[in-house]
Amino acid sequence: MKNKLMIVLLGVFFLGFGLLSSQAATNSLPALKVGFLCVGPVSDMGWNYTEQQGKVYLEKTLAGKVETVFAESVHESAEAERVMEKMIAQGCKLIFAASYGYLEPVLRVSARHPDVTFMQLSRFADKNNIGTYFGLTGEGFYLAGVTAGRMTKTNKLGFVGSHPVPSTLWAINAYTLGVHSVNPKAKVKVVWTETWIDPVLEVEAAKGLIDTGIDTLAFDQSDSLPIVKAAESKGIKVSGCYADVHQFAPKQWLTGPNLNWGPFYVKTCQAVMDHNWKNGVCICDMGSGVLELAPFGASVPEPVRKEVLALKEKIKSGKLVIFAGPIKDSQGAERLSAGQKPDIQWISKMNFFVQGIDGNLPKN
Amino acid sequence: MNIEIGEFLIAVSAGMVRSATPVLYATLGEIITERSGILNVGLEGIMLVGAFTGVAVTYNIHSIVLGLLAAMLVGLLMGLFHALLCVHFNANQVGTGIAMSIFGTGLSAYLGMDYVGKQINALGACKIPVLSDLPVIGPIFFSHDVLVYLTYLLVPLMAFIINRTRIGLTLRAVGEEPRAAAAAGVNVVQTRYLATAIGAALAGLGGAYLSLAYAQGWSENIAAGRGWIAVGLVLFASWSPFRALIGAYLFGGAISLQLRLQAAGLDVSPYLLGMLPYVLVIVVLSISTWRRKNAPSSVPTALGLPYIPQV
Amino acid sequence: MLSGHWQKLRRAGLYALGSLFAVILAFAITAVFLLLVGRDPVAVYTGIYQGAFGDSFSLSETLVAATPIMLCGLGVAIAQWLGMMNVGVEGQLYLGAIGATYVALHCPFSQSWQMLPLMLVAAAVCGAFWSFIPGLLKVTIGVSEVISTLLMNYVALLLVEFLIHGPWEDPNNVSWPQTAAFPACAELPHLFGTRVHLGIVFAIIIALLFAFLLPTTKIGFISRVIGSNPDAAEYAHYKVKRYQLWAMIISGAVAALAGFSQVSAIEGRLRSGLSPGYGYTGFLACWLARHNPIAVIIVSLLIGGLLSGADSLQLSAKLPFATVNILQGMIFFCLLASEQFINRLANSHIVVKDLKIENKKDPPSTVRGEA
Repeated sequence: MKNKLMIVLLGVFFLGFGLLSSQAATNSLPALKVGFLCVGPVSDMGWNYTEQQGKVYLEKTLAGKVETVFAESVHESAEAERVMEKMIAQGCKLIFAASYGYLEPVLRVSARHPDVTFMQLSRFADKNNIGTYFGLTGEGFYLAGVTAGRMTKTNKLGFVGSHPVPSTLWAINAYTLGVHSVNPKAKVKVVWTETWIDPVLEVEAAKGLIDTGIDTLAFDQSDSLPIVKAAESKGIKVSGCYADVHQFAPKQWLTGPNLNWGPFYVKTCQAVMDHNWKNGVCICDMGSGVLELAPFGASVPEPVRKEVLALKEKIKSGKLVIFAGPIKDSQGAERLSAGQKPDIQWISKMNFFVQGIDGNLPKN
Repeated sequence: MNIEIGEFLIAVSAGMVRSATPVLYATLGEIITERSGILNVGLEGIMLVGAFTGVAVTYNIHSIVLGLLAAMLVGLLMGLFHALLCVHFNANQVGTGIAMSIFGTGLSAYLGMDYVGKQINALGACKIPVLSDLPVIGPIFFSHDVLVYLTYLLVPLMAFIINRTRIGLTLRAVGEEPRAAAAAGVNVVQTRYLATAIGAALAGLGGAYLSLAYAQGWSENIAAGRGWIAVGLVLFASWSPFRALIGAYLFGGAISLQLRLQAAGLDVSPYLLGMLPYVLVIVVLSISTWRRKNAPSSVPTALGLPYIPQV
Repeated sequence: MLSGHWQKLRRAGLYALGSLFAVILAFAITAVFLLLVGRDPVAVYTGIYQGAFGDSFSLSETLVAATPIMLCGLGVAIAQWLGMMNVGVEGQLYLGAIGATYVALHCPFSQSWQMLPLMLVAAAVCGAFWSFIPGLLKVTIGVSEVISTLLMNYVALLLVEFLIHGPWEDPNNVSWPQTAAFPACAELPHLFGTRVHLGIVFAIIIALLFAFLLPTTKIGFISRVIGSNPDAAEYAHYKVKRYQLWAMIISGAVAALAGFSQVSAIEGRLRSGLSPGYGYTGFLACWLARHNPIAVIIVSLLIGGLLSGADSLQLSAKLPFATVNILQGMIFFCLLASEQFINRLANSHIVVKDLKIENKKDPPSTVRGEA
């Protein structure tokens, strides 16, 4: 009896599949289909969130001309290559790979699809269809550092770092240089969480730093809220990164870099559509408009605001360069001699702590 | 110098109590569940859904107490569902637990999208008269929130109930010899349902602690593996609430210690320091198992086995 | 009366059919959810099917995703046959990757036939070492292998991070967390011009080998006795502990092959994002397959298809990643719940007693003695 029922149900199942496969959808393609790969959840109110916001801006600005395909939480593993291939099979002609670990998959996929344009974050590739872009948050972190350096009372500052990779080291070093430019006595302490996102561990790391007597916090995890909220409730000044979350720390917020990818995405898409895209390096810094400074918190006094905004203008106009020689690492070795201005290659390979950071970059 | 080391140790210990609490709730819950013979390895998923529910209810109703209760209620429901699969469908308990984790991760992340960045009144620290003012003890154990203090009561209470009361005897009998228990008039099915539900409710509470007390808001995958650690700690504790406390403090203490060693400027790779909690638990477990080598095994005999009433 | 072979076949058929219905049930339940969020379930499911098995590329990617799951699942199964619950295949996978990477970066070979076997051996030795520790702790002191293997996963991942951020850092690409690229001879051959690689052949050979050896050899017989009743095996003077330790060692070595094939064929270097949880998925696959080696292969294939097909939830249906987990959880729930009915159907000709014996094989190793 039961077996007969099963056979009937099985029949229905296969019939259903037959019907399914006859419904092949055919859509008219827009001018350009763009794929976005991001490494974490877009709900992080941080790094991945900014990418999604940029996508939304792109859709609005180039409505009708551009269609987007978005994939979050794509691991930097065998998955990335598969997802990109599927995006291309769907008709994507431009793909933003928004994590440094995507470069190797991008290299392999791009070799198979010379007609597809790839934009790779933070890493270089000498290929005709791969461009490189940098979200150079360092300038924002420098200004946050200046603000923090002016505001600290104990001259002890804390930084909760994720992984010791160049993009994090730009942030920490720029922050420290900013602090030191106005407050040479201050010291920055760094604690690593070894993850990009683990809210509870971040909070505990922040509390560990607070126990050592710091009164100002910064961080570079891809999620923003846990540390900002913990700082607010502990009465510790805090600056953010990536997304503007000042409303979560009304009393303690200082400022921080904000990434606003939208215009950059639009520009790149326009270039690809106009067939004048070239592989090169796009540096998304303050001058380009992608990097912005978050609004100041209520506690930042007017003179400090003025000072920081003036510095921001100098950075924008190129009069102030963050990583300008002489730069010595925390062990005293000279990394950049006086008068030297580094190129993006130098910055992208950063692997040291500048002076002013309490401790060494642990390597072994 | 001595004062500095003293302060350092107090800070580490206070961090230990804080880090241990969410894991401890889940571990205690799992002890109840496993004592009844049901294995629920889905704590990760239950903690996540609990964490989300806590935030959602606290945000909408503006009551943190209701938020915590709702987290427990949702945990309870997930526990009942697990029990349904394990008791009535005789499903493989390990598999069901993993499915529960995967499902809970997805469900909480999906529903939680609307609650990212919502402001809630988080669970704040509260002082206990006299106790909080004690030197050393005060800052370590009595500078936290209500949920931390609750564990101080919960652990002895659970140990008492399990070892000294009729309810505990029933629970243990169901986990050890379900058929004998049934013959003695115990409702095995009902006991297992209840134990799984209560255990999962505690895990839900542990999850709510993560979001309401720690991160002060919802964040996708906020448990980040703590549910799995809790499952492991039950084995560490050999089903004893007091040993669960030790295990959770050991784990939380190692996390707290490694972060503060970094802050103190210890020049060791953070990745090697990060191994500390895991290695420490294995080493301590090995030593304690070795020392109690001839003690009788405390594994609930019928753990993970389906219960088939008549022969 | 039914003959033994026929009965086995009938059983297998019932399992396949029952599982199919369980999956359909899961899809039906999820369809309600999809309708609620305003998506057409038919279109979504077609997308998943197409993305998993629809064309040769999708099929190849399903195989790629399934390969590490197969090897990890077999690793879990081998330990489980002797009553050892190896939750640590994820860590053993990473150790395999470390072993293979050490050889690839440090041995001056230029021929694949020299390089690959050595990488394979190094990977297997490292993975075996990682499972030997919990195995040894279990058989000598009695430390539960469940917790030690679980915790060693985290240690293994941190070890990889330590190596790629420190001593094994790519000298030409300082500070980015990965090793230098392997030489060309360290690349595991690919099949059919796709990303499918020899790893899948290893998995199938291992599965067939064990499917043949377990029921036919004396070692297989003793293993089964130990797995179903360690006390009886002890009584029969079988060397239970030695067998269990070897099971752990082999288990770790097999799981390590997943790591080896992943770094050698897919990544070409060691990186931290090597495994998005293949070990845990393999663990699930093994339990869904009830530790049967052939079934592990089939279940892994289906899970691989689900993983790779589920991309379309994000790419086409524009649903968040969370829905992938929701659908997966649903499918596994239904599969596990359906077992009871299948068992009833399968045993409808046999006395109920069989069911009990069958069930005894399943419980985790922490369970000893008589129920």
